Amino acid sequence: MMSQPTVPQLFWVEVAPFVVLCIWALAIILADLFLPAERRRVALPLGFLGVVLIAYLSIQAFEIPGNPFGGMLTLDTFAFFCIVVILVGGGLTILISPRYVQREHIPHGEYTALLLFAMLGMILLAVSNELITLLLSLEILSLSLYILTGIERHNPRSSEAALKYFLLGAFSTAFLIMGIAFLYGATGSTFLVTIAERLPAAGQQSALWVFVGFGLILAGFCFKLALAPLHMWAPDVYEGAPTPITAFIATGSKVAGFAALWHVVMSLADWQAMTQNTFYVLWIIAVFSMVIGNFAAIVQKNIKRLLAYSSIAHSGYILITILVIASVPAVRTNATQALLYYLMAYMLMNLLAFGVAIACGRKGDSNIEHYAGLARTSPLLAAAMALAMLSLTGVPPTVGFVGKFYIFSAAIQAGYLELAIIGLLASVVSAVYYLRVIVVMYMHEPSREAAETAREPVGAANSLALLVSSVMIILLGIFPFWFLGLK
Amino acid sequence: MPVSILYYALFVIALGAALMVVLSRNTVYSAAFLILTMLCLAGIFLLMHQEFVAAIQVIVYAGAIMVLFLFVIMLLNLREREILLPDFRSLRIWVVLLVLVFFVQVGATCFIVLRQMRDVYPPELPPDTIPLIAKTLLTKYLLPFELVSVLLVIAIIGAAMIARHDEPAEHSDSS
Amino acid sequence: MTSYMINNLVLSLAIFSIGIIGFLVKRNAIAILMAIELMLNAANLAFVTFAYSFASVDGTILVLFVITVATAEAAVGLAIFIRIYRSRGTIDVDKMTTLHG
Repeated sequence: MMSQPTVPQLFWVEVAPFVVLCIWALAIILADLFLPAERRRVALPLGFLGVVLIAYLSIQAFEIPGNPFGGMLTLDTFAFFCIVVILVGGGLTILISPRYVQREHIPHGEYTALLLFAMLGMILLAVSNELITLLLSLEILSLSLYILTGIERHNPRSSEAALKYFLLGAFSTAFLIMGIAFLYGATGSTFLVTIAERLPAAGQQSALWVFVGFGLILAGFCFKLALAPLHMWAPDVYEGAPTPITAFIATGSKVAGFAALWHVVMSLADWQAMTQNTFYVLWIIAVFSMVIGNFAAIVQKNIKRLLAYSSIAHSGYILITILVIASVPAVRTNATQALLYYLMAYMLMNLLAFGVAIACGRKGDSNIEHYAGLARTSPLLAAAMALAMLSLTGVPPTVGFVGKFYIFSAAIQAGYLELAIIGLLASVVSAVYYLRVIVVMYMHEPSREAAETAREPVGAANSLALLVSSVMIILLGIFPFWFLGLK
Repeated sequence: MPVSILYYALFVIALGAALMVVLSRNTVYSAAFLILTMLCLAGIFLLMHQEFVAAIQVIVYAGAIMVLFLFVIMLLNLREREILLPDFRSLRIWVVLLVLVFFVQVGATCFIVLRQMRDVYPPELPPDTIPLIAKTLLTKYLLPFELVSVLLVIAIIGAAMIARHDEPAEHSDSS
Repeated sequence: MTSYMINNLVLSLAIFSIGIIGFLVKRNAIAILMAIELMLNAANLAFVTFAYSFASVDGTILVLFVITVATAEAAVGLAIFIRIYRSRGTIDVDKMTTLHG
């Protein structure tokens, strides 16, 4: 039965982005060892250079669709878009980091290297088409993020966040592994393509395994993506983690997670037994996430916790597209476009908001009260934050509006009118807390000490990141096809 | 049939030891029972002619990982503050019950369904699986093999960085 | 021999749910991590059982990867526990309340 395995044929151009990213990260760690202490901050610029290099290599790798490593990776258009989003997000995260890293005495070399390793995990998640590769990529991503969360060694809150993130993350990984075991048991393969091929022939018992397996995998993903019934870790981790890392967890890991979930769902979606009834589970999770996320966000006083709950709600919106893709083949293309566009939009809005939070947050202080009168003291930062909040609410002409429009129209085309309505109502609720931030910035008087103490300068890199994401939020909002027409 | 007696003995001990991991209040006992569970599972692997996995299970899992656990437990010198039953919170008990019911159901269903497919008798593996494992690992599973090395590098960097002892606060990054 | 397969899967699911319960009721971080290790062991048993039923080495190899994942997780997790213990003198998760939630 077992034929003699052969060495998979590899083309350098196809695997270059992954190999180079890995070597780059290791090189930064090594360089950090040998550089004198005062030169070590070169790590972050080097990391940014690495991201640019990977972007170039990725464009080359994706010129021709390919399946390197015997079909374990798939370089298709979907993956290309995900990698674009991830690289933009990673690049912006590195740009908003330097001041914060300097201020909190975080070791530069390890920070940058782990950030790059996390990005390696993300782009591998976006292209992996086999369950074990998917699991290992997810682990590379998660382990890097656990460590990055706890990297502020002198801050007990950072360690506590790392502990909570680690325990719940490891717990969800166990679910994922058990789910993979059952999918393997049902089909005899971990390759998603083979699983999709063998499913129609599945008998009764295999069908049962697939349901159990998919349920367990979905539970694992719900943890990782902070979807509603399993979202409890998110606010604590977002609050305790270093702010640039919070931004990275909120954006990059979600993008990669949704890309992986898309791959898994696509392999099962064409199977008749996996019809709408099964996917009503997704319906419930999406509604729960939107409702819980938005309502819990209203009472938050800390901007990082507020953004955590808001990200739970946004995961709910994004899950609608997965639901549509899974259950209605006719709308699949539209829904995938909506998914990709919203991932990009979500990434930009959140990074802008977190970028501003870093620019005006002093040590350990991210209360919303702290933003009182920001419009008076630093009008540009206030404007950027206001733009992020408006976009998160979904006000035209921002990316947030277009993204929500795409998602809800895909839902309506697929016949999920009720989901679109719930989503719209949830967005209206979300306006309450997003607009409150704007009100605090523009209407409230600055506290005396805030007006008197001079803010530390924002820094060139962070300003550049804020500028780039603001411009992209508006431009992609007006011309959405610039992004969707990339390939 | 001595083999089946052995199998059921391993089954019962594994289950009991797994229960004791959760029930015992002393963390060291928990770890010891966890090792016992792993050893029993290794025995079950052996009965299925999976000698290689059984060996890895004993050497890496029961050996290396659990020694790490015990080492940390001893290092931290944990007091026995592991109270089980009175510590249920209002909601937690319902979660536990729900999980129990869910898995009893799943288990029962599996049991019934598998009863019906008894005739599917699995063919035996060829006796020399280890060369085949090695070849498959470095051909078909080349990418995961490489990814595992990345994963371990990250774990080493991270563990060393997080657990490192602090020198006087601000100067630690020049160490 | 197939009745072994049924029993193995039942055992696997049983150990897995014991692990879940342990995760929910334990308060000591190391004990929680041990509960997670139980769950991973259960998954390994399922992998090996399925691999045996397919007479293929793929399942065996998957187990090796799962064990490596468990090792990496344990190393990072225990390092985090040590750090927490140094700063607070406890790794009781109920006392982790600096982040309110």
